[in-house]
Amino acid sequence: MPHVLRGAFFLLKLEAMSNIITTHFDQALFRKYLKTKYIGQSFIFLEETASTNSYIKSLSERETPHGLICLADNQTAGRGQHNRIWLSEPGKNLTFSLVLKPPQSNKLQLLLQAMGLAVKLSVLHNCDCKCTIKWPNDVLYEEKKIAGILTESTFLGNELERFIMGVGINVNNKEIPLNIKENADSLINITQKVQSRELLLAEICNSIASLYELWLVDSEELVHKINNAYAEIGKWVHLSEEGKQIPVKYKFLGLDFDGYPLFLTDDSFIKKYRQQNIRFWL
Amino acid sequence: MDLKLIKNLISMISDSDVNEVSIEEGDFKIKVKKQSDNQGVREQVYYAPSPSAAPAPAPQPVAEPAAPAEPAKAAAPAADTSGLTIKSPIVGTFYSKPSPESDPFVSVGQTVKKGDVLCIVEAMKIMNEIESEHDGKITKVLVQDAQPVEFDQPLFIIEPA
Repeated sequence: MPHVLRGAFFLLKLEAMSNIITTHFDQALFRKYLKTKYIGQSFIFLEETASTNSYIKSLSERETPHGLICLADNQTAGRGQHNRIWLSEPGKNLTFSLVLKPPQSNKLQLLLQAMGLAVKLSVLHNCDCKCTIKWPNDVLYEEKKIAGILTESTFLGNELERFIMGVGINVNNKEIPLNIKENADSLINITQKVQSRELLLAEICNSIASLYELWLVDSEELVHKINNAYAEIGKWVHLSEEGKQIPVKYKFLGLDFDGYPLFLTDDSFIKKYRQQNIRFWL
Repeated sequence: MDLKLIKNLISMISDSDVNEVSIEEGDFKIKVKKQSDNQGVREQVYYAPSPSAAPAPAPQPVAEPAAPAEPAKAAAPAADTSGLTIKSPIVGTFYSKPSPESDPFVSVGQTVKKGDVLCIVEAMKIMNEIESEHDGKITKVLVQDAQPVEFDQPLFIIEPA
């Protein structure tokens, strides 16, 4: 009971003092809204860590059960792609990692896309904010990044040990550093409201839990859902292969059922990328 | 030549030991190449546009992208029975070091313990760390840094301790 009361009080406080953003992550409130069997049921809260993915990797496989969420209130050296630093102010954003231990290592790339979709759906549900997912690992609002995902896994020989998705979401940080202001935004700026990090994280857990179940039983249905969430679907896009932009535009056709991106080329071929390092944009 | 024929052709080749077939029929040309699991060939699948639509341009043979040299192709490690083979659990790109500036995770002659990271195979932006299943010594590194690898492609030979 005290937990519930504390949660309610917390919400009231947010409403009343919308300019004051708490730095306290209320785990009881988070749990109240969590409806999953595994995901988020094990929870590690860290006041501060360099990167939640690195923290998880420093623990043994046994210490990190399936569904574990590790949340850091202050992630000091969050990593993005290519070791870019993901900046985050303490107590304002969501920076967390989720550990999954799937029974198979096929189509793992679909899980990364599913996490993007889970963030998109949760942001729509909780904040009424319509985002799109951007292949391979971002969530955008009007072409500005609000979330990024960094995914790592470890295999012991051929056996998948654990699959770790690190997620960073700009929630309540009003100040976006000048150098990324053109490309990034936060939910507080978009919605003009303080957003509850607890409720958003709970919703993301609920959402990724059902998408993970879908991945296990019907990954084709999952692919349809993911494809509908891309801003670029069915559009002609610029594309770079191994860092080199190609001189023509291709039409993005979405992912195939294995999770590989398909394109219609300018001369009407269908091209699938499986290994090449590509990027594409509108 | 219709799509059904092409389909039959593909399934015929995949069931056979033949790796590559080229057929020319008038101004229609098709080349079908098998992507064997053990070959470090980059896959780029092209589906030909319906060839029945006018004697239009013949579908191009599969264009080989500029792939890096593939010395591993020849190194069929099945012949090497003196050690344990570590194979790639997934399709991706092999990285021998954590970042371009750093030292490789392991090199020939190095002793490794079970659980030590041997390499990263990046697949669709997922960084997959491959750990050794055994204690032992690395006797061969069969692929080069940044080389594409297929599922089950041998990466290292380890002499068990």
